[in-house]
Amino acid sequence: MQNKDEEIRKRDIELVARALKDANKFGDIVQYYEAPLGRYIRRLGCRENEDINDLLQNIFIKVYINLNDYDSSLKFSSWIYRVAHNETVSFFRKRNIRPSLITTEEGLNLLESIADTTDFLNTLNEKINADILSKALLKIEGKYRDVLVLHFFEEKDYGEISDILKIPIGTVGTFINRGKKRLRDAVFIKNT
Amino acid sequence: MQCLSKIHNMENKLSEKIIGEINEHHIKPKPRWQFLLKRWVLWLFALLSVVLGGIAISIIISLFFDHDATAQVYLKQSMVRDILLTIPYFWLITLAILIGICKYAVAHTKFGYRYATIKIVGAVIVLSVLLGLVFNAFDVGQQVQDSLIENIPYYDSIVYTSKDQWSHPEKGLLGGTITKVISPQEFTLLDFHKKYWNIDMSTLDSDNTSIIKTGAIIKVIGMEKDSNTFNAQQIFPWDSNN
Repeated sequence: MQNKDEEIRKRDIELVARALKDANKFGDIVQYYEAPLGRYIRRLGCRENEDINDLLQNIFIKVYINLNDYDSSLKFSSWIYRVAHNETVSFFRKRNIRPSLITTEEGLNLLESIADTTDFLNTLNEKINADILSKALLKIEGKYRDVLVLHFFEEKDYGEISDILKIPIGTVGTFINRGKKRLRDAVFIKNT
Repeated sequence: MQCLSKIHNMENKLSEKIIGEINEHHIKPKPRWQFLLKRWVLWLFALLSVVLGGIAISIIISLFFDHDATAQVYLKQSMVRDILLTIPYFWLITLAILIGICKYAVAHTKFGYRYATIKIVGAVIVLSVLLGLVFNAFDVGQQVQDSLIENIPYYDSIVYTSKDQWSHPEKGLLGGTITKVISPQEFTLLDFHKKYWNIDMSTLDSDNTSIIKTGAIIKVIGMEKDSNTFNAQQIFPWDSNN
């Protein structure tokens, strides 16, 4: 795992160096990251393909413009996810829309991920479906939703989430715990 | 699955579109120096805030020690009023603002977000206090204070110093600079509000006239005779503890 991370780190440093020398090589970065970023934007609540496409374009242009700001002591993926997160949040704000979170399939995946780490679902008598979870996630504050999505969907560790959202690692842990509790409360309220 | 394949089809187009956009609009990465400059400016602000915070602490310390207990007895103020008057509000507010600026600057440096607010604020306070103690050892606070009183209009009205305590002739306290020794019994004094007084020493309790020299800054305890004359009972050099 560590070797793989190191390989990716080296690859990313090389990709950045090449893109800085030749703009056409920036296409390699786009190709490596457009799929994960596209999924991430969707998970953050952007539903329309057209919007996702526009957002991706803005994100990659911004990444290119700020490529010299990338510091190799940070994971490139954390840095690019940070840009994607900020752009998406800004998109929601500009459009004055609430994120409409997760598809049914993804809702079930998240449900399973969270159920693995917390036993609150075991206490539920009724079967919770993804729709309920989706609505419950919409009810919790964005800062908790952000860490839950990054941790359970994107499988980012606390350090990476800290770098992406620019918050202390301790706060990431607090937000994940609180987020799970809020989600549980939201599911309970919905279910009772 | 259908959704993912849509995104995948989008990808190739997107990659070309982005490169096309970069080439068409001649988009260039911002030079590295711009980012470095931004980081340096943030650190400079943080450093300046700590240094100014240190000066503020040093002034707060000097104001604290400037408080004159003897004058306090004559002013006959309640302890609470005395404490409320002597709290250096201006410098405490200034210090809070500087800590806020420093916290903002540090939090916006490259990895500043990794530290909790309480840790940054705590570190800034500790550094400011340490620096303030060092500055105080070199009397920086008093010098800055004197310079501000001299050069900044109305500054002296926002800080409560021993000069304020010794500017109550109606309560028997007067301080200032001797401008002229008229006779062994009389001299003129310019108080801290730039008002001239004739000081009558015929009522002096002690024989402490050796300090009566033109240019000397003194404290006088006595009684206001009229709007321009003050009967002295005790006289002390300004920097004495009585």
